[in-house]
Amino acid sequence: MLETRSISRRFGRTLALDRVDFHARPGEIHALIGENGAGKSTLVGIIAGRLAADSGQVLLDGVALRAGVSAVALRRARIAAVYQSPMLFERMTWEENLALGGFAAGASPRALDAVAARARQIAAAAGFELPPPRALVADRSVAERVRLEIVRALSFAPRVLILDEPTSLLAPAELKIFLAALGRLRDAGRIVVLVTHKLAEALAVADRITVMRCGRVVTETRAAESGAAELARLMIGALPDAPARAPRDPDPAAPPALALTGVTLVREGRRVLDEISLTVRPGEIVGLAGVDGNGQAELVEAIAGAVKLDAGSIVPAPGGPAVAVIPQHRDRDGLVLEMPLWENLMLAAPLRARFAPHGFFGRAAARRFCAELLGRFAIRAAAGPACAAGALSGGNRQRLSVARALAGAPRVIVAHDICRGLDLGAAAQVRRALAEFAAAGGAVLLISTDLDELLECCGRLLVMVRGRVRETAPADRDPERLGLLMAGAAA
Amino acid sequence: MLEAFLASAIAMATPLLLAALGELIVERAGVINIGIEGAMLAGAFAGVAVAHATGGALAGVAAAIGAGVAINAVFAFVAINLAVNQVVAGTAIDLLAAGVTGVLYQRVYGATGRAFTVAPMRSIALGPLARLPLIGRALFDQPALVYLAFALVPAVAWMIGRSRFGLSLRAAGERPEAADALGLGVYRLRWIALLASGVLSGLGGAYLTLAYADTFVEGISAGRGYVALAVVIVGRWNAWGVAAAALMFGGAIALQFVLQAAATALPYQLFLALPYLLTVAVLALAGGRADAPSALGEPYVRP
Repeated sequence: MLETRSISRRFGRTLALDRVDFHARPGEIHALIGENGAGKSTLVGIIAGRLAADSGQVLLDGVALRAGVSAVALRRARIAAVYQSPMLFERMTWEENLALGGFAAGASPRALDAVAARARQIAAAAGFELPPPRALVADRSVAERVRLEIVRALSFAPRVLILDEPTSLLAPAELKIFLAALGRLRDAGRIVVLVTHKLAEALAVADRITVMRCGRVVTETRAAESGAAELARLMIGALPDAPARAPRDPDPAAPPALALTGVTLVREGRRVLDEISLTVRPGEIVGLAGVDGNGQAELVEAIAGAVKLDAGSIVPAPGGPAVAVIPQHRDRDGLVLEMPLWENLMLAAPLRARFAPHGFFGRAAARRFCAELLGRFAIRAAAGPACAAGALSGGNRQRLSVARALAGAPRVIVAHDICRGLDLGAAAQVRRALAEFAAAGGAVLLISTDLDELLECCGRLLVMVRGRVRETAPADRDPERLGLLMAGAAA
Repeated sequence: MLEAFLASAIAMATPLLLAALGELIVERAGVINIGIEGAMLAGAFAGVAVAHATGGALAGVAAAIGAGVAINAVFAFVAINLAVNQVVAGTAIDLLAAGVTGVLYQRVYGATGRAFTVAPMRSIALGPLARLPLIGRALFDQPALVYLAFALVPAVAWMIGRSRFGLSLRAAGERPEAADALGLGVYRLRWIALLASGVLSGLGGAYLTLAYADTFVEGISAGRGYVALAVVIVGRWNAWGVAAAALMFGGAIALQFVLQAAATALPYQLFLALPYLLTVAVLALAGGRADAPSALGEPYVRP
């Protein structure tokens, strides 16, 4: 059995974990659920030996693990974790990344071929595809990285497998096979801990559920005996408001706020964007569905003006203040984690123009503005505007990205996977902010792999497959039908 | 004359190559060690002092290795365990080594600069190969340290690119927190890299006093540690590239001797500056950090 006894951990003035007792038994899938900032990731970090606890103990089968475990102890205990933010080595091949895991191999071509062969076995059992031989991780999509991390964790043949929000980026078909694979691990007597914000998933897969709130364990219960509404209430204290919906029918005569015509981008001889034409009118939220890696990231780069198009045009011209882009990798492309919150806000050109009209910041005014945004978007930052962005939890970082995009008063927002890893409350707040923006006449292009999110938020729905975009009919507004279209089925 | 130039180029490239291979290992682990100049200087002094006292070149070489390792251990403790800024720590090491070797030299051998010399390391001629025209003397009639330096190139390339240890080392240099999460032991990897680099810097220093100058003067390393840093950059953090860059810089130094001997009307200081001008020029052209390890120079602190 894996257990923690009275674990506490403090970050600065915040008590992240407050005397947490947690138990997970062999042969069970244990879901750990809670809001962002509830302390789930901290607890997972301590169990996996990445973080040290201030007090308390982690025990595996009654034996205490040393805090800040050494490499040897970690491997002997065979605790493997997949963390929320990917822990891959970008400039190495995926085989090298896996060789650093449980295979413990070198990097000679022969060793890497052996690693690849064993990895393919593990991946096949988990229902995953792996990238082509010797591909660099830096060139792979977020979904592919999550798969690689899961395979690497499985390569340890772990006794305890911890998965921190692993499923948000898997396609529906993959998810089913993956969850079945987790079931097989459980049946083999392993301990599986699944950190998730998706209640339905926790209820469907887990045997037991532990709910955390504000650094404490609120309850531990059998999944079969719990209802979604009750768990949601335990997690956040109250149910979130339903998001305000954008009007479904914007004025068809209004000129589009964003128009792409025949946008084409060729990389390594492949048309990653293939004659894409789409429009978004003022007051509408257009959804773009698709399995990650079908050209969404390149489309966002094109609209942001980060790449040069091979053909086609985008109106308004990329890079201007009319379009605000919220990228998928918020920590890589969106925020500078070492910089304080208010400086992160000032990275947006419209805000720089407003607070530094002559090249010098009005620091006091910029900080006041930041403090006001923190309040309006309920961003929890212990030290206020001076807080480093890296000190915020994932949900609060995402709200900061959205707040920054909105604060520049754009006419169009392009948001890519912005609710990834957010819990119910945080995701609802982010979506409500977008809906309000649209209701006030803004245009939104929402790119997501989460069909439920798209169906809930969007008017028109588009589907992206292999660099092409096509409209869907109202009759297609159904997860199963959309899933088929995403897989490339004919209309 | 061309034969002499080639022999001299190899001789000048050797200490650079030894030091740069060590620095390469360290930088691939994510540490930048400017203290390499100090480690070479300490190696040079310890080597010649012990060789002078015992009369044995081998004892001198061993002492040089010891000095290089000791200096790097100080740096490792400060830069890794105390997480001090690596550039600051390295600079301090350089100043420390310059001061300590200067003081010891004056104490032991007198401030008069009375010349003391040791028997030079003998060249080892590799049979008939050494009698090849033009390249024979340069490549096959050199002290053992030269052969060692060049033999280390494929060894280091294999270690970094192919071996399990090298893979872990690169992981520590790319993303230390991820390496730590996998239980690879970032502190341990960086310590090992720095100790290995201490051995190589010490050897580079020993070469200067035992195989080349046969004596010691204050500041004999003369910025070669810094040139070795440039060699790693120009060599694109790759052992074969480092070897090529070391040969290029060695050639520039040797060329300077040739030009001085040719005695034109130009002031000789201009020729002395040649290798350093080349360093600046090549760095400006080679530019970019595209190939540098991502976490280079960042102290890692366990969360």
